[in-house]
Formats: sequence, structure tokens, C-alpha cells
Amino acid sequence: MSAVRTTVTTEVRLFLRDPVAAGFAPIFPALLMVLIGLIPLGDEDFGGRALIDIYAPIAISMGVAMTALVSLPTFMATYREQGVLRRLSATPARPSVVLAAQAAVNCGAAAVSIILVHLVGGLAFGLSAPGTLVGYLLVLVLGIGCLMSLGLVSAALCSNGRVASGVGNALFFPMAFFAGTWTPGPAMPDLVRAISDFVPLGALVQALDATVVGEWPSPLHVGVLIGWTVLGSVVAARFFRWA
Amino acid sequence: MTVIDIRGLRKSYGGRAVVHDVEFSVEEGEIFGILGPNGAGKSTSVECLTGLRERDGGAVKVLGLDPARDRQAVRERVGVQLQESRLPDKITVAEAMRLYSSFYPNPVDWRDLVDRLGLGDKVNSRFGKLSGGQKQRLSVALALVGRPKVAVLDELTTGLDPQARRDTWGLIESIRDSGVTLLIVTHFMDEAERLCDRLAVIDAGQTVAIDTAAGLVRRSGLPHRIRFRAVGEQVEDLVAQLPTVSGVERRGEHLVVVGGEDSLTEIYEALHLRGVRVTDLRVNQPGLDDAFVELTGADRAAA
Repeated sequence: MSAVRTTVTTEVRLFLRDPVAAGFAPIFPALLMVLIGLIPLGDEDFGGRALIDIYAPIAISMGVAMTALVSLPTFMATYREQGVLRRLSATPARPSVVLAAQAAVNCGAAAVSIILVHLVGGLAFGLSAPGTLVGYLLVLVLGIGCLMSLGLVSAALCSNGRVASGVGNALFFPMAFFAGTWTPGPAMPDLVRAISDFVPLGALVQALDATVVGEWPSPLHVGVLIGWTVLGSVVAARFFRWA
Repeated sequence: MTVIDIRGLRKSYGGRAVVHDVEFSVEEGEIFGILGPNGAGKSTSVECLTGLRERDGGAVKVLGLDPARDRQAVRERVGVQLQESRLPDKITVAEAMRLYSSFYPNPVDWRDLVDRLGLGDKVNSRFGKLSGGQKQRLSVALALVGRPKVAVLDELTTGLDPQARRDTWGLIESIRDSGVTLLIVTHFMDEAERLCDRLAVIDAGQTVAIDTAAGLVRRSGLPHRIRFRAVGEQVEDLVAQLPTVSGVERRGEHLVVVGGEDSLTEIYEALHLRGVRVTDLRVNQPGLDDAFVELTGADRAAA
């Protein structure tokens, strides 16, 4: 079997054995959908939209963020700390194959979490399909790329898996606040909303939300996502160490 | 045939020369040891010859290849067991073997290999659940799975219990018997003495001696101490006149003699001719550890 295929297979198996990375992160957004779907709605007004439709982009963004900011850096920092990558560099294989396999596995996990949200939301709670599917998918790709590149910064700077996991969580919760997890966009105070425009998770939620109602995302949010992606990639590449 | 040839190796980290003149060569089929105190530059030398680090200067040839230029070819032919490198805790023995097999163009059958290394009943165990000895054997298996001509084993038995160390020695000899040239980095004297055909002693970034273990002891010129009981007239003077004896001291009925490695034979023959009985004999020979301390000046550092 080829080295790349075996490496990917091995990384998938290792990923599936991690209870948080494989057991919790991918189903977490779908669980949020269930909670939201079960909230008895009073006479609150959400601008004529169903609460579940407003909440789906938030849940999806949180799922991607958890995988990208917690799982990915924890795996990579642990690999570096334990000398897994150094040992690989003594073989004819390139350690970059392992990193690529890890990134692919995490992107796969993010994709699974998104599909679960649509399955659970669509089947059980009448979640609407995105207004513009092309725009929706493009924003998802941008968002996954952005958050993964920020995860790589953490992977590059954290000396070991425990630190990476701590940093990931410390990034995740404030970002989740600006993404509107507790106060969805329409209910946010103006200042929080203004900051939220520039926070990766906030920009992602709002860009997704635009495509859900059939509009194109605002250039500001697309620009913010691309900007963070570029910044993250540059910093990660600058500080990354194999050993 | 010379398999590894290193001359004038230099390597600095941040302006500090860790290695400034290491040289040694290893012949095909040898078990060659690199011995040295902590921080002497052993691991750095090994990393330069396996292509894990770029050297700053000197000539390095491994199987006729330069690890800095022909990195890929060297990695295909040299198996490495590294200090302080682990596998992911949740990978199983079989998965690790399959993964590493896939990296090499012509791997051995990994099932045979793990059987030979006594891990046959552990193939489905996770790395994190293996004992220290089993982890080391797995790392040896990974170093050998690519059918290497040369295997480099760095601090292989550090952290193992005495029984596991002894088992590992037997393993290393059987690897050599299968035709692999072995380079072993160690700081255990008994291991070096027992296993290695020849040794390079490295101290403060340079090679200070290359020889067999016995040769290193001889070269150190350390005295043998011989203590025995001999009753008779002028025994003391007689012994003192022997060519290799450098000192005699009487302690009651016992003589304590300091001399070279031939002193014992000389004393015994001389006294036997005079009909003097030698009893209660005790010989204190210098060992490789004494020679090592002498060669590396480890005592000076400690003092």
C-alpha cells in the first residue's frame, strides 16, 4: 500500500480513537440543534425567520472551530512533543504527509459535523436549505480554511498537547460569544456586533447567514475570513517546528 | 568494506561547537559503539550521519553516500532508533509496523520481524500499553523494517530494567548475525564492553580514542592492583624488582602490589621458583569504566 494511503488510514484510525476529537466535536453542533429545536417558542420575533434557521450557522461554525482550534493543534503539538514527527523524518517518508493527513482528517470531521446539523435540523426541526448553495459552500470552505490556519498557529506555538488544548479552549469560548452562541446576531448589542464583524467566528456566522437567506456574503466578512487565513498561515509557517 | 566513514565532523548550535572533531569508521558486520559522557556530542554526530541534521563541516560517508546530499537514499538504507521519540499512544503495534513498512521500497515481512522480537502476541496492543522493554523492541523493529544495511540505535537500553537490557543485548547480536552493521550509542560501560567489537570514545565534541574495549583499558595505562598472602624471606624485595611492578606495600602477611597487566604472571612465576606459596589472591583489574574516566577526564569535571 502506498505511504500516503497508509498514513491517511492510520491517522483516521487514531483520530477515531480520540473521545473528544471523534466522539464529541463532530456531534456537538447537531446536539445544539436539538436543544434549540426543543425550545418552546413564545411570541418572540426573529425577523420573520425560524430560530433554527438563525441558529444553524452558529452551531456549524462552533463545530468547525472546535475541530480546528482544539483537536488539530492538540494532535499536532502532541506529535511534536513526543518526537513522532522527528522519528518520521528519519524515514524516507516526509513528516509533511502526516500533517496533510491530519489536516484532511480534521476537515473530514468538520464536514461530518456540518452534514449532521443539516440531517438533524432538516429531518426533525424543519431547517431550511441554504438560499444559495454555491455561496453557502464557498463560505464554508473559506471558514474551514480560516479556522484551520488559526489552529495551525496554535499547533506551531504550543510546546505540548496539554497547552495546545488549553489555548484552543481559551480561544474557542470568547469566539463562540462573538459568533452569537448565547445572543444570536439580531439580539446582539451594537458594540458586540461591531467587534463580531472582525472576529473569525463572527464573520463566518454572518457570512453563512447571508447565504442562508439567499444573499451573497458581505465583502467585509469575506475579507475578514481571508485576512485571518493569510495571517494565520504566515505566522504558522514562520514558527512551525518539526521537533 | 567500510560502511560508515566520518572525518573532522563539525556542528555548532548558536555559536557553541557541540561537535568539533569527531571521526571514526565502521566496517561491514561490526557492532560499533559510541561511548561518551552526557553532552559529549554523541547524538549530534549520529544525527549528522543519518541526515537528521546538516553538519557544518567535515566529511561523512554512509554506504558511500553523503547524508547531506543523498538524504533520501540514506534514509532508505539506514534504520534509526532515536532517543526521546515515541509513537502516538493509541497506535497499535500492527498499525505502526504497517505504516513504517509503507515508507520503504523493499520492506521485510513485519510479522516475522515482530515475532523475532518477541512481540508476536502484542500486535493488537496499543503503544501506550506496552512495557518499556516492549516499546524499545518495537522501535528496533521499526528501525529494521525497511531492510536496512546499517542500523543506528541511540541509547537503546536507557530506562530498561536489567533483565530487559540483557534481552536487548541478545537481540542486537542476532541482528548483527542477520547481516546488519550496527552503530550503538550508549553510556553504559557493561553494555559497550559486552556488545561492541570496537568503540569510539567521544568527549567534549571530539573523538579521543578508538579501540576494542580491552584495547581501551590497556591504552589507559591504569595500574592493576594485586593483593595476596606470601610468607617467606625477602618476598617483598623480590616482587619489587620485577619489571612491570611499580609499587609494593606490606600489610601484615599480605602484600599489595601495583603494576601492569603482566605483573600477576611475573609475580606468580618468580615466587613459584622460590617455592613461596601464594594464597588469598585478589586482583583488581581496571575496567572499561576506569579507562573511560581516564580517557574523558570525567573525574576532572566532577572535581
